Amino acid sequence: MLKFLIRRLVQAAATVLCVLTIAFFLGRASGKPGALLLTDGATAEQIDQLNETLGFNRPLLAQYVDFALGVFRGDFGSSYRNPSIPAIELVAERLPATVSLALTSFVIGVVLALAAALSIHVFRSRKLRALFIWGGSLRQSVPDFFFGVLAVLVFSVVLGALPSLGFTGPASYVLPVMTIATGQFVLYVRLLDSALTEQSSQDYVRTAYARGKSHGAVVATEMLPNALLPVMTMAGLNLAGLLGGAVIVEQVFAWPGVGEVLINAVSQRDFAIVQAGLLVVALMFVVVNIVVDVLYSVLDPRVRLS
Amino acid sequence: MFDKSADDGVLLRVKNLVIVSEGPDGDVVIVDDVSFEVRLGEVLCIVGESGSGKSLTMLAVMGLLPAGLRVDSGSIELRGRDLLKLSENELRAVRGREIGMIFQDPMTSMNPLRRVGSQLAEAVRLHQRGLSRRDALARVYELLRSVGVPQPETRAKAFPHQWSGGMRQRAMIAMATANDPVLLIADEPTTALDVTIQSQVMDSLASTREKIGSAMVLITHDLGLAAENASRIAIMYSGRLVETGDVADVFRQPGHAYTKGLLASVLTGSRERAYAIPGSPPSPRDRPGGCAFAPRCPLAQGRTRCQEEVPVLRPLANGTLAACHFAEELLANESMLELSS
Amino acid sequence: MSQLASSRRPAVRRTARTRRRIGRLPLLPFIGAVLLAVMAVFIVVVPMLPGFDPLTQNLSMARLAPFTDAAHPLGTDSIGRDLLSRLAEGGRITMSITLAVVAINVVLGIILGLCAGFFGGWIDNVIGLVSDANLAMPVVLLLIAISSVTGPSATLMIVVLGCTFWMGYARVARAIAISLRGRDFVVAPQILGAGAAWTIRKHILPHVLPQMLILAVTDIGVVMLVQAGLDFLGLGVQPPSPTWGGMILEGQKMLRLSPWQAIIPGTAIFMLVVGTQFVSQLLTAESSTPLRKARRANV
Repeated sequence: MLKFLIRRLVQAAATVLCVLTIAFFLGRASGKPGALLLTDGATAEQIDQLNETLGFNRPLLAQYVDFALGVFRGDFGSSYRNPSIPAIELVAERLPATVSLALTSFVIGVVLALAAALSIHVFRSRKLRALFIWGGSLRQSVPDFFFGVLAVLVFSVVLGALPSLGFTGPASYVLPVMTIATGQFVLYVRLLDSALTEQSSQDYVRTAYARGKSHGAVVATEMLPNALLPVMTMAGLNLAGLLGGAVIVEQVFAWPGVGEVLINAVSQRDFAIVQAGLLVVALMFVVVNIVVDVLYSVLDPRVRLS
Repeated sequence: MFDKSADDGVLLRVKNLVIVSEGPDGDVVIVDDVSFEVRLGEVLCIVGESGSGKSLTMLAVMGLLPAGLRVDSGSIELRGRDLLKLSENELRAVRGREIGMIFQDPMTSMNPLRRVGSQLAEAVRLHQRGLSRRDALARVYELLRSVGVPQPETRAKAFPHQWSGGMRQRAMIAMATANDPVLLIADEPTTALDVTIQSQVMDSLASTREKIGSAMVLITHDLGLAAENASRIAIMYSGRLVETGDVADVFRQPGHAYTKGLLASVLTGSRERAYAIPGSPPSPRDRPGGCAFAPRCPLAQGRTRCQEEVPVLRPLANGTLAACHFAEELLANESMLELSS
Repeated sequence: MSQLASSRRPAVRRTARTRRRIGRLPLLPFIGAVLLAVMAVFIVVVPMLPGFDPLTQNLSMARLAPFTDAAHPLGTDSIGRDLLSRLAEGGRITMSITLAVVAINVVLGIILGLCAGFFGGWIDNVIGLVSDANLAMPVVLLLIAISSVTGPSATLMIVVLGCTFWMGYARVARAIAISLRGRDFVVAPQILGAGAAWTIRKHILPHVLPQMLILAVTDIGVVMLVQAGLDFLGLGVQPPSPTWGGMILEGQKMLRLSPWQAIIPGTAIFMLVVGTQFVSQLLTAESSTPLRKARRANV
């Protein structure tokens, strides 16, 4: 187990280092940011002065080593716009909002899909399958941001029942979570349904029936655990994507998450913040994947942890 | 025609069973009008090539036909009770309790995520509700020991992938016999195993069956296995029963050209090469009208009756029942195969 | 005897199965095709109408509700621009970009997939690696990262999206190329001295193209959703050019006063995506299962 964990951690570190390197050179490839950061009236000397202060006049490799060493000390450099504020701080203070929104939506989406897929198979109902998959696909055909706008229109503007913007309390979760969870729903229903369908024709399922086990019990205790294994890997990838990709939904609901900071950074050309954001997302990606791997090896006795 | 004087001694009676496959352009008849019976305590061997419908027939008895297949007509009576008319709940009480089934591939027949002991204990507890987990496990150890699994207490805690194929099949035998069923169905129980352990596992199955005194239907394509284990034999071809009778009678003088061909292909004797029946069995979709074996049968050449009329099982002078219009010619002419090949 | 009756039973029995069909087309793909055709006609015809003007502002005519003014059938937005014109013009821009993005991906996917499948070896490995790396990179973040350096632009979005959806095409093209690689009609010309490029173009490409078309129809909807999202974030086409995503962004700010500003373009996106889904349902149903699997893995 320990060996396995260490190997995964080394792989994870390599992934993060890779993203870090790409992020660094992407930023430097665009040239020195001095000109972009100052007003149009700035003289060449002022620009050069700023580049000097920010360290952009040094050799590229030296900058990279400095940057990489900084990252390992938790120092991602300072915001270009506000040199007094470390970039990582701007991202980190928004991280809890993003993670809690993504996790809540993920859990609710998966639980709904699980209930739907189980009901399809427990009742062996093609009608239920058509209902859930078509319903979910139609929902998926509405872009998340438009669904969010409609949800705001109905529940906040017309009904006045729920808060629409920002975070004012637990009720603020309802609309964005509903938007993300329903958008992801059909993805998980499809995955679970096809995994369960695959399991249903396995020999061990027939053996379980031959023991005299009831259909519901076979679905829940024999098929489901086996079906969850492949779905878990996909769901893990998806959760990682969700952590980085909920930017659009965050924007619709003015959610005080990382997305807002990143979008603002784009309009202000503050690459330092984007860099910190990318690294944080890469870290979360890696963490989720390690968690999935560990879970997988705990659940599947065939996977040896050596 | 099967009807003996009364029900005495008959455990399972399958009558005019038709199984169809539901396809996009209609139903295809897979098992066509199969009738046979199994008497208390006897071993019946169903022999046929893969695709002949022998496994499906017995899966239908269990009510476990794969999706897309269904029983179209016929009856399956266990001790006079038609299993096809039972509700799912009533059928559950039969599976694993009155009928135990052993499947072909022990590698895939157990849930890979559950410990072997837990799957066996479940088989016990499903039919003995009052039993505690501890008592069920004690029963599992006893069962495993009796099928020849050493150190069952430690092995039961392992997962299926940690068991060898032969041991797994022993565990499957233990599972199928956990509740002393009156009927055992063994679907090619040794086909997937190493040749070296096939006979050990078969011995274990035979002795377990004898101990609980149940009847057994042994599905196989191996005539040697049939000769060793069965008292009666039923030969299936392309979804139909072509011959049935006591093992001794069938082996001494088969009443169907297909049976004869099968025997010739195994009992090579002094021949240099094993005999092979020319051609290959038809898929159910292209099954010819009349006798399904006609295109490959030396007796049928040039005879329209074989092409048009499905032969029915009828008693012959050799003591067996065979479905052939011209069985008498076969019985009269012992060297039929040599003439045609 | 009962067996005699059975001898007259045909091996295959026809069972009556009714499916709702219109002519030879099943219902849903038919609806999908109609939806797509209506959208296409709309985008082409509206700009030819008199009074087509997606850009001119007229504050005295701002926030006209739909169906209240003959000159502005779909109403106007918060600064008095004609929504019918903007919807058509936004549709033209959105659709052109979507089609361009899909085309780039199809070409990229075919080239990389065929190379990987035909040559195998290290070429296959490298392309597989690039494909995996690409799958792991969320589009939105990638675009945010680059945009924060160069500033957002439509060209940048097309380039990034153009490199985002090719993996599905490559996977299918690779599989087909591998399955054909050893066939006589592929091997024989090579023995006779034909070049790899010629062999691929002449003998493998024709087998790949129909499958690519099917995937492409499905992707139109997917790409449109992503692209509209990026426009909504302001990372794509820049104002004043209208796009459906951008129109929803503008409409969102006016939700209380003129909700139709967001609802109209949102409905347009929905209809188009549903249309491609319905149509692709027919295409995938009639193609082989490997493709369906590849598609499922891709989405």
